[in-house]
Amino acid sequence: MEKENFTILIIEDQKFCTDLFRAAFGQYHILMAHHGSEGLEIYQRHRPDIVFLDIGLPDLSGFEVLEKLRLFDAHARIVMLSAMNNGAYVKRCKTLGAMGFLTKPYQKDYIQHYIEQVEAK
Amino acid sequence: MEAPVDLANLRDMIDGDKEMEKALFEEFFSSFEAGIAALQSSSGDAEAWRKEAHALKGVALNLGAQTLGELCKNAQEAQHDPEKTKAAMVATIRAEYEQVKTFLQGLC
Repeated sequence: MEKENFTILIIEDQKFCTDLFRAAFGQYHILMAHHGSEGLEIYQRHRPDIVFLDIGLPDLSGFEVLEKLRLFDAHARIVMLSAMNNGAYVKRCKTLGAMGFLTKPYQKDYIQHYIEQVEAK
Repeated sequence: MEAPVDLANLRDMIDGDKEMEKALFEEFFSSFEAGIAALQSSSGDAEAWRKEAHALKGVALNLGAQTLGELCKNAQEAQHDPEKTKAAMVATIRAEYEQVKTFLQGLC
């Protein structure tokens, strides 16, 4: 698949963080949402190949969004983002079906690793 | 004196693009200043305070401002502290932010 046809949805409320993500992965088709409910709508409309989902959102929690996304699409590939390295969070995300968990700061190699996993399928 | 920001990771993220870096700094100033104001005004609401401090921590860490991120983490964990303590935390965060801002502006 060409990179511009590979769609990434990032759900993160801080514009600085979404701008940084877009700057780093601009070769892909990037969709952005700053609220959980907006992220759910965009997912249902566009069915992105992978989602990067922040746990701390202003409306729904990232856990709630993860749960709803997986109910809507059991095959949704979702990587959680958090500013906190918390074992209980990681466990909960895995139980809810996330494919991975990354802590801030964003690191290009780690994000790329998950993208490549999905691209390879 | 140690720099208040380590930009190595951010520069790796954007492949050293200077124009992009400048645009990100501007967005950081705008986001962080709004965030400090929101934190200050939420001092009477423990959950709102925790969320605002958490959001600021994420921005600081993504920039590479470790000390600023630690101060925001401390604030996040102090959600039930008295408002006077929170006011002092806001002042400390603002002072560190000003150091970060001065440092970044010196690079542009």
